Amino acid sequence: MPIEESVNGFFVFFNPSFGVKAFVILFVIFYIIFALIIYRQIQLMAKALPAGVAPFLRFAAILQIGIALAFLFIVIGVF
Amino acid sequence: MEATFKKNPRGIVFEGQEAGEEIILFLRPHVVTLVPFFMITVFLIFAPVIFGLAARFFGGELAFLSGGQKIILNIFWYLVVFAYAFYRFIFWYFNVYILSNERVVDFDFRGLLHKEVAYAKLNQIQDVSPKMIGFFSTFFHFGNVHIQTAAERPEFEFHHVARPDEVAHAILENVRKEEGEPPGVIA
Repeated sequence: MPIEESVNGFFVFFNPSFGVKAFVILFVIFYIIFALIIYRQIQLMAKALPAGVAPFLRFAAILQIGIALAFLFIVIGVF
Repeated sequence: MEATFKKNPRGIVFEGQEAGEEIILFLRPHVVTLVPFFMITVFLIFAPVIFGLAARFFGGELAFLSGGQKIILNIFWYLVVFAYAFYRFIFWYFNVYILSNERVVDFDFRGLLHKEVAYAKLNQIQDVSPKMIGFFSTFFHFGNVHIQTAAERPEFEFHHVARPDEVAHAILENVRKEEGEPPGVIA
């Protein structure tokens, strides 16, 4: 029994769907870090070189962070 | 789209610009250099459709995922594609080369965590050589301008700028003007 049951239990717990969920959550966390770095870089570069579309780039970077955060909560909820 | 070759631009200032210092040339890599990334982005946009069709053709499907989960994966994919396109764009946008009446400035955005700004006074410039190599470079008239200096950074390279010969000519002309000025005068 116990070995078979525990092996089955292992595969039920680590089913492909769970694997995909873990993968997506991990990558979304990396994505959020990436988006934060991009935002900070835009801030610094726009300060060194104020140019026409810099405010739009900053807005896009903030939007990216917001969407990534919202997406993280959706992934945790839906999967 | 912001210009890649601006002569005497109005309303542009950069960090550390001195009083009386004027920008003569404001350069970015030629727009053509964005084409490969644009094509990659278009391919990545259509990749899930291609992948889906291929999976259906070969009889394999992600059956263990529900419809909602597949939608989530698609959204995730497009977030990644957006991040790639956005990153490539700002990488291009913030790579700026400036020729002022006092110096050349090289704003380099080389990577996610690598930003570099280098300056060289015009009177420290020793040699300028424009280079156009390859079909696209010749066809669209862009290339590199190699600048040798006696400054802390001995070599500057303006990468993929439009009209490199004109840029080199403008640099040399301003170097000559600067050499004719008394030291310390900004004009």
